[in-house]
Amino acid sequence: MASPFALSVALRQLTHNRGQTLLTIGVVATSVTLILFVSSLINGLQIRLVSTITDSIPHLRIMPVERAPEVLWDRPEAQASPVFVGTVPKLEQRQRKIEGWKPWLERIGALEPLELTALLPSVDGPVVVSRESKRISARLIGALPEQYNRIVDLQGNMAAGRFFGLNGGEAVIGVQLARELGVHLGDRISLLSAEGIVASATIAGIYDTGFGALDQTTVFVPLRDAQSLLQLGNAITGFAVKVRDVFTAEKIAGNLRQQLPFKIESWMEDNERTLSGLKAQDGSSQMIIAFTTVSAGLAIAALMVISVSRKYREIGILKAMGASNGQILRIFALQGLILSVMGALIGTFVSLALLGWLSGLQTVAASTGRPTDLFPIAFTIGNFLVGNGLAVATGLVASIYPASQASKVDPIEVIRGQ
Amino acid sequence: MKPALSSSTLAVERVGKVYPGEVPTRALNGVSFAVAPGEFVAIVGASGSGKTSLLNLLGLLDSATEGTIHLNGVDVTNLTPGEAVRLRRDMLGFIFQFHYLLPEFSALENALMPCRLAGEGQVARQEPGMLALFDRVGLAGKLNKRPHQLSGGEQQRVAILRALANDPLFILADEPTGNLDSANANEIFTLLRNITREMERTVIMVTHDHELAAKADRVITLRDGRIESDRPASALAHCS
Ligand SMILES: Nc1ncnc2c1ncn2[C@@H]1O[C@H](COP(=O)(O)OP(=O)(O)O)[C@@H](O)[C@H]1O
Ligand SMILES: [Mg+2]
Repeated sequence: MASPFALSVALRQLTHNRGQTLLTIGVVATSVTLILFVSSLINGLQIRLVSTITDSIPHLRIMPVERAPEVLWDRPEAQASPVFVGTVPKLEQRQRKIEGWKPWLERIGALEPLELTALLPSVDGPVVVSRESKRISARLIGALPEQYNRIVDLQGNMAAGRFFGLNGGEAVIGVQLARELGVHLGDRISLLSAEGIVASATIAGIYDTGFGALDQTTVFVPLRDAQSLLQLGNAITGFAVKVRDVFTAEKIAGNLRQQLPFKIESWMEDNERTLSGLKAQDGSSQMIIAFTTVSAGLAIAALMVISVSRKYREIGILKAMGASNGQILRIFALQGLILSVMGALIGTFVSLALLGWLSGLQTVAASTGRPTDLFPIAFTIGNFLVGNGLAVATGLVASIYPASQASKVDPIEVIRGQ
Repeated sequence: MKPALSSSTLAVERVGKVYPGEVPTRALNGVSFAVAPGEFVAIVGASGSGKTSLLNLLGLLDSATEGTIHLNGVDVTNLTPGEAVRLRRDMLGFIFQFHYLLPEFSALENALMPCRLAGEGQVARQEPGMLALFDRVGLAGKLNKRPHQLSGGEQQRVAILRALANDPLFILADEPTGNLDSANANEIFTLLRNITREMERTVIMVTHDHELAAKADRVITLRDGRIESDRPASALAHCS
């Protein structure tokens, strides 16, 4: 229980030495503002960067295993008999596909029921799109539009036409591909697959997602049309997966690899360099936070050491009158606590106002011509707790030294000093 | 063998104090005396004769090297720090040469500070009596003044009231008038003398003002850490 004595003396001293109190609160508030600002901004930048990568692609791709070439002399039969030459493994079909995929779909869904937010069959392959004399090589994706929209929101980004309810013989393409081909809604294009199959499709929709890879080079058709173009029958080329938390993708992939006879790739493997850049950024923001915290702590400690030495005589006399060491200690520990809590509150308030203002600022992205936030700011409860928790803990820690000096004041020395 | 403890409220028996150090300093040597309840004792002596050392022992701020001290029948010679703090709060009031009032608190709050140390309940209990004391010393109009708004004499009067706040049995004063001009010193002394007489408190006051000492009940003279003389103030007045 905080004694009313310590609290009343602590508060009185703080309100009496207003200038010094405001100065200390200002230092803490500035530090908290800096911490919240830096962490929210870096957080926001990372979220923006990661989402530009992960919003337009499946987080995991589940594909048939590529057969590794087998080394014959590693086989046990070869070691038993030096003249063994081995059997020639039956050459796999060049095209890799998953037959009878429906039971697999259920099985995969059951393995990670909580972590997977989307799981769907898809067909994926190279295609040449042509319109009159123009030929452009592109990527063909066949899927059910209502399902695939969970991987990337095309329906919400249609420049013209529709994605949902795509019929056989219809295709949806990106705005840049449409421009290059010179096609519009309702025009017909022809698609030539690597298997040599040609089909023609009507443009039912043109999307504009802002993701270059999608808008420039991807053609969506219904699953069935893609299967026949790539001569897959009822088979698919893989499953596309979205996970709840993008940063757990690799862990989930690891789990699935152990339990499934498929090759599983996560977005994290494909973006290792970006991710290690993010780690470095995390590290440097933690350094900034650490140094800011330490300097705020030193400022509190310095100001409190001064106030203890100014109060030296009064402390001695209070002790002579019967103040315990604990009561004296609490006076100064409470001051540290009050200063840091006030500073943290003000810092939070200021940084919220600042972040609110900055997050309203917009700029026009040069590549897409779309308005985007100048500062991608993500203020989280976590940032708030870390910034404020650090400030309050620092205030307490910083006051320990001056408070214990105060509690050690010897009344006899004070009395002698007179 | 023991002096009559029951009749005396404060008893010092063969007390010695040696300050350790490269050259240990003996500040007190075989000091014995007993003080009756309500007695006003002045301690005089040259500078360095051991007056403050003795007062610090009686105030439980320091411990004796030899001998024993009883306060109100309690042996206080070897107390733990916690016990000493409690007894200081309950039984002792201090007045120093300088007032050491807390600048952030009003005169009334300063005077009630020892009560606040003991808990808010104690503040509530003692406040009415304290208001009466402010009236009694002519500071009723200055209850809410800060120390810096008071004159030197007024500050020291508040310090006296602070020493009385917890209804202590003993008041220990180390040159309480040492920082005042003689008119003010006289006034403050008279006040302390009268109030403590009315309230029947025991006072041990160190002073080097022989005129004031002569107005005590009894004067103990220290010399090089020993009691040189211990006699009624009237006798001292005759001598000088
Ligand atoms: N803390 C200490 N360490 C060493 N010597 C001390 C200490 N305090 C007091 N003394 C010595 O003890 C003697 C008595 O001092 P003191 O009690 O202050 O006398 P007075 O109050 O009568 O002037 C002096 O010689 C002084 O120097
Ligand atoms: Mg002295």
